[in-house]
Amino acid sequence: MSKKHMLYSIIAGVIILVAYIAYFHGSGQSYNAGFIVYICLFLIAGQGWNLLGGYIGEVSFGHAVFFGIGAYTIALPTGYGLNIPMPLLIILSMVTSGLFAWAISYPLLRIKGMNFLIGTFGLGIIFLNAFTSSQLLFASQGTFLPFVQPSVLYPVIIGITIAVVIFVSVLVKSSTGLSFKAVRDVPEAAQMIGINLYRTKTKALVIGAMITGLAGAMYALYSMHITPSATFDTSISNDILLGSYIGGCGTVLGPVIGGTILIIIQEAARSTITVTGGHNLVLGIILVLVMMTMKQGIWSAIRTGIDKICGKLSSVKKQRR
Amino acid sequence: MQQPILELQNLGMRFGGLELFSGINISVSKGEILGIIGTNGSGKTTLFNIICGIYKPAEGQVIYHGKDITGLPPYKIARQGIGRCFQMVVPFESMTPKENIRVARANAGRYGKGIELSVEEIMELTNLTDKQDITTNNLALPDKKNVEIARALACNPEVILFDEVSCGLSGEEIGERMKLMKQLAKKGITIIVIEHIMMFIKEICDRVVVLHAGELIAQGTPQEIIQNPKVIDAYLGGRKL
Amino acid sequence: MSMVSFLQTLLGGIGTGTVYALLGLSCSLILGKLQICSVVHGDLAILAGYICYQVFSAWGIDPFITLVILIPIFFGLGYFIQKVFMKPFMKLETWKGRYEGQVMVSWGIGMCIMAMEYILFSGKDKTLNVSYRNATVSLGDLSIPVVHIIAFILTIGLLIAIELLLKKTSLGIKIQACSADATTARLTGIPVNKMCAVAFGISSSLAAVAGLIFSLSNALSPSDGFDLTFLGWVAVILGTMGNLKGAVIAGFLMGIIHALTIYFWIPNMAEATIYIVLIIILIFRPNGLFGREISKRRQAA
Repeated sequence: MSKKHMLYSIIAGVIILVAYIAYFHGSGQSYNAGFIVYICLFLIAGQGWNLLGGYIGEVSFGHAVFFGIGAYTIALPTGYGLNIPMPLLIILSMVTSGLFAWAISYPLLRIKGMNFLIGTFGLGIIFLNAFTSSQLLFASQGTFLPFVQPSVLYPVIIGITIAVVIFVSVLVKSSTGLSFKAVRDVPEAAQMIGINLYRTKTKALVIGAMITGLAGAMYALYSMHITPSATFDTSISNDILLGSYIGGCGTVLGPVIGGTILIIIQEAARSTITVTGGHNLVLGIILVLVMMTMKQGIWSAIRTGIDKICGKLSSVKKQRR
Repeated sequence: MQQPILELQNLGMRFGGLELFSGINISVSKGEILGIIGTNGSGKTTLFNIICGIYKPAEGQVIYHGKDITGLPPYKIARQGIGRCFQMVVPFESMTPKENIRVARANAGRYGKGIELSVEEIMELTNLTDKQDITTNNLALPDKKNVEIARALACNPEVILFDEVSCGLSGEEIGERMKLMKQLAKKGITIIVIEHIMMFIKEICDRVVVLHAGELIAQGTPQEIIQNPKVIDAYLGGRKL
Repeated sequence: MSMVSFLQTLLGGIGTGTVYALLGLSCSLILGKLQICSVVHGDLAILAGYICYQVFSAWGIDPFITLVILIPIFFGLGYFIQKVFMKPFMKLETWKGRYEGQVMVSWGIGMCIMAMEYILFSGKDKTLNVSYRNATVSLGDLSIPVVHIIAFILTIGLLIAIELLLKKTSLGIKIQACSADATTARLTGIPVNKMCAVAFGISSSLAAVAGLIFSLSNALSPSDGFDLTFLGWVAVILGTMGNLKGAVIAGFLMGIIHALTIYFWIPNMAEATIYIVLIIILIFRPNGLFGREISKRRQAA
């Protein structure tokens, strides 16, 4: 990414942040202001997933593990009554997620494809079951967090989301990001230009886990009460993953668009179909429709659409000449 | 004689119980273009895979710059300056040619002690200058092959292995590749080519080795090889060229 | 711990394992043989369970009679899903869009099925209370539930039937050809898409059988479907891709692990233990328990 693009995206980010703060204070901290933040949590986690799932091409069904570890790192010290400053805890939750990812990368990245998918799903189940049955970790009733003023927390979360999106878009344009893509495209050839496959995948996994862990930490602060079923459940992994797929994985803006659409639809369906679990019907139909009509996701479809229109415009211009 | 840059000593390979070849001795010196010919299934590509570290040989060593590199993982071998073009064209399709070069530069290129060409030079050599910002999967086959050559060059290699570059190309395009290889050799890059087209071999190679039925049956200049009765018998089925 | 209770646990495990074995068989047929990746099977199984439940509680018809009617219906359903939803992705390479697309689409279908179950039957657990649900047969000191015996016989019978179908009939040989190389099969005049659809149909019918057996020994809940699919996949992978016998044996093994965990350790960790074992086995044998060498194609995938 060139310096000019970088500058533009930072300016855009600042504008969004300022606009949100204005809206937040203008609307008197309404439900919507909180909802926007809720969406942002999944956007951050989606970016983390996308590094491994979209750019390396190893589909993980268990990113809730990193989400949950991030959330618990921030919640456990408070649960035990320790007094550690919040910013330190946030950094700590990223570090623990990253360290955990690094520790499991040895077994996990030696399996790939279908096995990886099921292995990560299994990891999610293992953590869910372990956290639910362990009294030391407050079992299924979970633990509470101190209250953080929304007027501070919400803009921070929005700011982090923007920072993560900019960071990921810089990363994927850098030579590290290009190595990720190389590993996805042709692993054999990637080796022959001196890429250490295992090391590169570990890098993507650890960075992704740190980002997802950060999302988890923010979620813990946002909801003020965490339980295993709210952090480690497969439905969290699914929301992280589905957003990226609907939007188009392997792009920076895909998970952003997809995640936003997914969470909005989910909540809308939840409020219209009041039967427990009934909202899945809408979600399922959307998923089938999106995947059947645009295999690469919404963002890719939009991009090809724009390209087509631009192509037509330029051909019109040529004809006029 | 010059110190050889790459040496295969007494190399043997088997898959399961099946012996592919044994006792292969080949040495290449700097700036040389070596051709490898042989019938299909005689183990030419396997030989490349052994040099690159994808397979571990059953016996023997690969010596590069006097050091034993047998059994090193492929990425380490690539970092020491051995580049490769595959038989099936496999550029990184989701990237532009420029990015293909950049990613190779950033990985093996950082370590390669070989001949360093600037990005512009590589583009120039491989005719990609005006296509450098088009995503590779939109390019035609010859251009994809060029991207692959460019990628190998960006690793700052001393040795490049070409696996049937002429496959699927027209006569004129093959001519371009021959010109390119000669230019590279002049810059001091050692080239090993696997080829089926005799014209190609005759034109560019300094030396040719012939693999047949698990043995190295002949080596010498292209002229000698063509006249070698053993080669004619084994490879050309008795026909005269 | 006495020998008897240990044996009792083992037998119970095999009984639970029949569900995994049947789901494994059903997934192995499409995922292992034809490289069609679908997460809909668990939901299909649960759907079959719910239909049996509904028919039984409304008219008192025995679920096994319902099953006889359900098998062709589910075959048709599977055929339809493959033809309409999975086929567009079949031209793509396995990890370059095919699996991803198929997982997402089948997941969408699964979600719809699950939501329908939620709407029609509510999220509360439903139990299929047939008269023989709690009946047991005594064998010395051991007592074996009748349901488990039926399930075991059904599983082995279906495995043999599918193996025979694949090896002896021309339909089976055509499916095998598609499994070996779809392009070549197409060139030899085998209607690959039709064969895939037939295989998907058969595997959906198998899922229906698994669903009935599941509902005879567990309480039904719509959200079980997703987990069941993954347990079926675990059986496929543990038993090596494409190895039907392997998948069935792995299914039984999973059942035994499940039962032993409940007996010896925390009951809550039963499902997790299966995955722990899976990950450990995959590190040492990336190809599953019964695989010898990694074939080139799979390695590339």
